Order: sequence, then C-alpha cells, then structure tokens
Amino acid sequence: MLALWEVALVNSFRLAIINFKRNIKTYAMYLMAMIFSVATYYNFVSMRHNPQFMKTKDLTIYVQSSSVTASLLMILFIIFFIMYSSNFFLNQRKKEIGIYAFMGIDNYKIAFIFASEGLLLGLMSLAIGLFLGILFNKLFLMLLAKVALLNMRIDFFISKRAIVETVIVYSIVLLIAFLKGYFDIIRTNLIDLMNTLKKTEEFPKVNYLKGFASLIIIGVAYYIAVNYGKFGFGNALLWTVILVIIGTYWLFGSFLSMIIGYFIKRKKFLYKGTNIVSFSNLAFRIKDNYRTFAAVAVLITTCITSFGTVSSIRYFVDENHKIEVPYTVTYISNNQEVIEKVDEIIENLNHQVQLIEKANFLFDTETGRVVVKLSTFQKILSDLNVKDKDKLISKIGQLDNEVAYVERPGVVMNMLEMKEVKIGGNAYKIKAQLKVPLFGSGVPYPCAIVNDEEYDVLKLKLEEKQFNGIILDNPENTEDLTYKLAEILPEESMLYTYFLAGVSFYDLVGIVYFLGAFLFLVFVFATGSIIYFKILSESFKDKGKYEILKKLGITDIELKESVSKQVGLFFIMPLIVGIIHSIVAISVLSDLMKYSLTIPTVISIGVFITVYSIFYILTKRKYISVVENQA
Amino acid sequence: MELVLETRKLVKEYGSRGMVFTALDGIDLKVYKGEFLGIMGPSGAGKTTLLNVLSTIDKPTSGDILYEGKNILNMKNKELSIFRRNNIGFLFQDFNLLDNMSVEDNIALPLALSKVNVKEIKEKVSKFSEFFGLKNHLKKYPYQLSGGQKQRVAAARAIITSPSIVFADEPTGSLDSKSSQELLQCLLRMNEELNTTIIMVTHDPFAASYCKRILYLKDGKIHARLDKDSTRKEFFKRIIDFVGSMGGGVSELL
Repeated sequence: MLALWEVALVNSFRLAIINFKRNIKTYAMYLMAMIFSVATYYNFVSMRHNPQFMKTKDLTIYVQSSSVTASLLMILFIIFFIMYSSNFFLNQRKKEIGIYAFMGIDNYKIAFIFASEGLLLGLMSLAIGLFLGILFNKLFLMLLAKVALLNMRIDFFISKRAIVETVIVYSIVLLIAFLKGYFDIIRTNLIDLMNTLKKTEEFPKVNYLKGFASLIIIGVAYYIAVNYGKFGFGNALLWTVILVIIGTYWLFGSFLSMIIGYFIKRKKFLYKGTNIVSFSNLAFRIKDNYRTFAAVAVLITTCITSFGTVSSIRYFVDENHKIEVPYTVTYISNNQEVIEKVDEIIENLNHQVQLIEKANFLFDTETGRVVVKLSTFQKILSDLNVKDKDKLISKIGQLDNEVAYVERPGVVMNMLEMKEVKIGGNAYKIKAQLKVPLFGSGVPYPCAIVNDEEYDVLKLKLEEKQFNGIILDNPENTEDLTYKLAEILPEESMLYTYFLAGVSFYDLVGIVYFLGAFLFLVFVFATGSIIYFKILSESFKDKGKYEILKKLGITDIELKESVSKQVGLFFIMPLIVGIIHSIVAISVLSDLMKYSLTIPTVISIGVFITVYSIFYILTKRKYISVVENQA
Repeated sequence: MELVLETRKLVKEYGSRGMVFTALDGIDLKVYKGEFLGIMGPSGAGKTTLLNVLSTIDKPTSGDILYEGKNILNMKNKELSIFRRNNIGFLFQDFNLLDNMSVEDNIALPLALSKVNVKEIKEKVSKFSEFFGLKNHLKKYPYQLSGGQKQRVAAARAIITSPSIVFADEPTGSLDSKSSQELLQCLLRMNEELNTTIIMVTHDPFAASYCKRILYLKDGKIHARLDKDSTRKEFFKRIIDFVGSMGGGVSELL
C-alpha cells in the first residue's frame, strides 16, 4: 500500500498504470474477449472494403449487407460486454476504492484513476485487436471464399477505411464506458464501498405462483410457436419471443428457488458429502443471479437457434443442390453429331469425365410432365449412387397402372398431397411421391415413373427425347465450358451446367453461413465471459465460507468437488433451458421447411457444448484458485 | 486417567533468519479425557498460536503433538483434514457459521461431509439441538439468531462428531455478559454430562473460572498453572488475584 503523501505525489494516471499492472491477471479474460472482438469487427468491416470482393459485381450486394449486419451485431455485443464487465470490475474493487477514499483522495480523482484504467485496457485491446485483425484478415477472407465457394485469389490487404472505422466506433464505445465508469464511482458513498462484500445475504422467499406461472407461460409460448399456422407467422414469432423471455426470467427467479428449496429440504440428498455446501451456496445466490441465468439462457437459445438456422439452410441447400445439379453438364439431344461435338469440347478443355448418363424420356407438353421407364429410373439411381436407393426401389416395387412421382427439382416444400396424375390423357394412381435426383434443374419438370410396358404404350402418343448428363471431375471450373457449349447447342437442348446453377443463391448462402458461424463463435464467447465474470465475483464472496469449511476439515478434494458442482450447476441450468428452447424453435423451422433438421441441430448443440465446456473448466479452475488462496 | 493429547517441546517460530520471533517456546502439555482446560495470558503470549497448532490448523516448527498416542505431524494434508473433521471440534469468537445454511444444516455439516447415514445425522442433530436448547430454531438461518444462540449452534456443530477435543478460541469474545454466562453453562454441561474434553483460550477471568485447570502463558512458555479446588466464585477470585500479580493490571484484562 502506498503512503498518503506518496499518493498525493504520484499523479493519477501513473497510479492507474500501477493498478493496471497489478490487476493484469484479473483482466486477462477481459482483454482476450476485447481483442477477439476488435479483430472480428475489423474483419467484418474490411470485407466490404476489399477490392477483390468489390470486383465481383454480383457479390457486392451480399457482401455489403452481410458485412453491415454482422458488424452491427458485433457493436451490440461489445456494448453489452463492456457494460457487464465494467460493473464486475467496479464491484470487485469497491473495497480498494474505499481505501483510497479513506486516505482522503476525493471521489473525482478516484473516479478518474479507475475509469482511465478501463480506458487504458480498452485502448490496449484496440491496438492489439487491430494488429491481429489485420494479420488474420487474409486467412479470414480465404476461409470465407472457401466456404462460400467463391473462386478467387485473396491477396494480403490492409483496409485503411476499415481501420479508421474500427478505431472511431471503438473510441466512441470506450469513451461512453469511461464516462459511465467515472460517474458510477462519483455517485458511490464511502460506506457502501467499504461494506459491499460484507452484505448479509438472506434466504430468498419462494413465490410459488410465479414459479408455476413461468412453466405455463413457457408452455403457452411453445404452443403458439408450434401452431404458428393458426396465429400467423409474424404474430406467433413476436409473442413467442416475448413470452419465452418473461417465462425464462420467472423460471429462474421463482421456479428454480422452488426446486433448490426442495433439494435443501431433502436431507437424504443434501447430507451426502459436498451437496450440502454447493446447494446451500446456490440457493442463497439465486436472487442475485437469476437475471444472469435468464440472460444466459436467452443468449444460448439465440446462439443455438441462429447457428442451427444458418447451418440448416446450408444443409438444406446442399441437399437440394444434389437434386438440382446431379450432373456437371446436362442437355437434351439425340443428334449423334451434337453429342460428339460436346464430348470433343469437354476433352479439349481438359476435363475428366467421370460419368455419362444417357436416358430416354417422354415429354407431355400438355401437362408439362416427363415420363421415365422404371428400368431407366433404377439405372440412374444406381449410377448416381443415391442415398437409400435400394429402399426407394423396393418402395416403388412393381408398378401396375400406377406411377411413382418425382417432384420438380427445386421444389422446397410440397404443399398438397397428390393422389392421381394425368399423362397423355390417361389417369394414373400415384403410388409414391419422391424427392430424388434424376435429371436435375436442366429438365425442370415433375416426372412420372411408369413400368416398361406402359412406357411403350405412352410412347405412341408422346414425343421421345434423349437426356444427356455428364459428371466431370472439376465442376467448379465450368465457366468457359458453359460458354463454349452454349455456342454449339440450340436452345431446345436446354443446356444446364454446374456453373449456371452455382452463381447467385449458393454464394449468398455460403457468405451468410460463414458469418453466421463466426457470429455464433463470438456469442458463445460472450455467453462464456458473462458467466465467467459472474461466477468469479461469487468466488470472492464464497472465499470466507470455504475458509470456515477448511477449518472444519474439508479436504482439498472435497473442496474441488464442491466447487465443481456449484459452478457446474451454474453453467448447466441455463444450458438445459436454452437447449430446450432452441430445440422447439428449430423444430418449428424444420416444420416450415418440410425438412428434417436433426443433423444440423445436433451439430450446433454439440459445437456449443464443446466451447461452453472449455469455459466451464476455465471458470472452475479460477474459482478454486481464488477460494484456495489464503491471502 | 486417559491421556487424550500430549505435546513435547512444541516450538513455533515466525519470520525468516535474523528476524525470528518465537511464539511458542518448548511447550510440554498433557490433556486428559474429560478435562476443561483454560489457557490465559496477555496479548502476544502465544495463546492463539498454541490453539492453532494443537488443533492442526497450523504446523509447529518443531516438537511433537500426539493424539491418543498418535503423532499427527506425520499425517498428509488430506488425512489431516479428515482427522480434524472427525476428532476435533471448534468454537470461534466470530462463530464461523455458514450463513447460507439453516441451523439444522449447520449442525449437520461435519457429518454430512463424512457421508454419515442420514438417519443417524438426523438423530444426532435432534439430540444436540435439544441439549443446547435450539430445538425451536432448527429451521432458522444464522442471521435470524442472537449471538448467544449462534455460539450454541457452533457448539452443537463442534460436538456432533463426538470429537476427542473441542477447542474454543475466545468463545465469549463477542457476546454480552448474559449470553456469555449461558454459553459457559453450556460448555460446562458439555464437559460434565457428555464428558467432552475442552480447551478454551480466553483472557476473561470470568470465563476462565468455569475451567477445571488453567495454564497461564507468557512469552511462549507456560508460566503458571492454576487448579480449581473450590467453588467457581473462589476460583474466579484466585484468577483475578493471580492475573493482577502478573502485573498486567486486572482492569486492562477485564
């Protein structure tokens, strides 16, 4: 501790630096989060200033809009994060501030010292974050290009405009945080400062009404979400969000107290080793912590749902892509000369052919439907190596005056179930409705599959055509090929290539997916740091308790066990609630898209839990070190 | 009589080379089962250090501590914690109750940590809460209790494991005189009815007069020893006379 006269001599800013050096360890987590966020922000912004991205005309709009959205979300996160952590630091060090106040330094000076400490930290993380952001910018854009399937070379590039923008935005945020910190300290009283950690805690009163109401509210919210058809999608969404948030707050505010109260009354459970310690600690803190629990649960829901959504869309698009573009090149022609020419062009451009599919089909111009022989259909399925092809073939079985009906490629949802289909004036019963790759979007019609005899009958009425599909080794590189083929093929050949399929939509999905995944990481980080700071401030309050326990003879192993349980419960409760919320949300989404989203959901929950667990381990370790440290 | 605790040439030094301060200077001590031993002495005489070393919270620089013939200084950390939990009870000046547990849970805590059968815990909690007159307060929390009640909860917690010794460090230090008297009565009953061995550090001659034997510590050594051979009131007088003769001035110590 510095003597009074020393303090008077040392100027305030130097004191801030001294303080900062001493507290660097406490700040490590904060610094990491800040640096990460600055680097991310810079990358998001630099995306729209990158000359190579600007050159690609059709990309510009997507890049621009997603860059703006992503960077806005980042700013929101930063504001939230800085406010949260600065509150934590203030509470953490109120006693220290109180000592300075005791020594006769006036509030203004103390406020200046502590607020400038925060400013110093902010500026430092801004500088480091910018440096790292610039360093990793190329990697970031390369990843983006890879995920979005953009075929471009990325050069190292420093965007001055992005730097300026980042510096300005962060300076404003830091300045606001500085002023907030400054006025927060000026407004505090000495007596509060000295007593913050000593406040006696009381057992929270349990509000049973609110507790049960919370379950009902969440139930109603789920009901509305699942039955969005009845209420209209917009309404349903709005009410679900409002009710879920209220319900979650009450759930943690009241229902949780009820549950923990139950465990505390059940001595058979409580008097089993360290349960008594962890549950008692938890019970008393609910009042202080339930807002954090609820906020974290909502954040987790947002995180998992949004990541689930973007990966679902990507998954969906991927699946659809297989149906829409099963071949690299398709065209319709039975002219042997044309076919040879096409093969020649492909060979000249050094493409390796992996599969050539030739199939005859009938086209019903009246209804816009295609008819294919069952044997042809079976051959295509096995040539394309379609997933579950054996199951599909056995499902269709022998067709007897019936057809199997394949949806038009590109159909997202089938709104109505069809019973019958008319082809060439005859009505056929539909035996099975399928969504499988067949000809791709080059033949954008629904297809009826009939048995071979029926085909021969229909052939008399309808025109027969020949479909040619070719799979090449490098589908991404078909721009030249497309132009060359377009020159020789007449319009009725309906040329379709991977290049034609791949332009607009897939790029957008790729970019959105990538940024979504990145934001997901940022939000996981945010959630983790919020819990980290909250639990850490708990640990300082619990220190005394663990000291008593040590005197009573708690072993180190038991202490660790107790802390693991306590911290674990803190992590796991919002996680469970968040996961349940997001599963409901994603199941609604899946219903909307008529697609099972189980795989992307499981993946996004898995990724979240992994990152979240790392935070758990870090927090637990830090907690134990705080509690074990005698000083 | 059965020997519970014995120390041999116990030394505790603080500080490093050149600046050594000797808090305990070769203490030889024998404590027998059912004793109520008081430790007195002026500030800085080493009372609390002795208590901490005896109760395994602190380690001596040299010397031996034997509990029922077993040397605890050879024990490892974990062993020591469990030994402390099962064999030693504590009463502190500031109670050291956990304010987030009900009275019931506070008393049950040491047994709960040892994973004793719930039925047995409940029986013991009920037995000792009756003994200390806490039956009606079991569901309350420490912040709802008076100082005297809190210290009685601590006493119940201290003996629920049936320890071989209960250490009391200025247990009346933060109580008013009426609560002090009540607590001391409790300790006396604990000693007489349950045959609990108690070692109490105090500088209050009134509290000390409840003990059966008093050791007077000065400069880390046992300076004198007083045995109770008459009524409590006469013993109290002898203590005051003795403390006065030590030159400290009774008024300062009272």
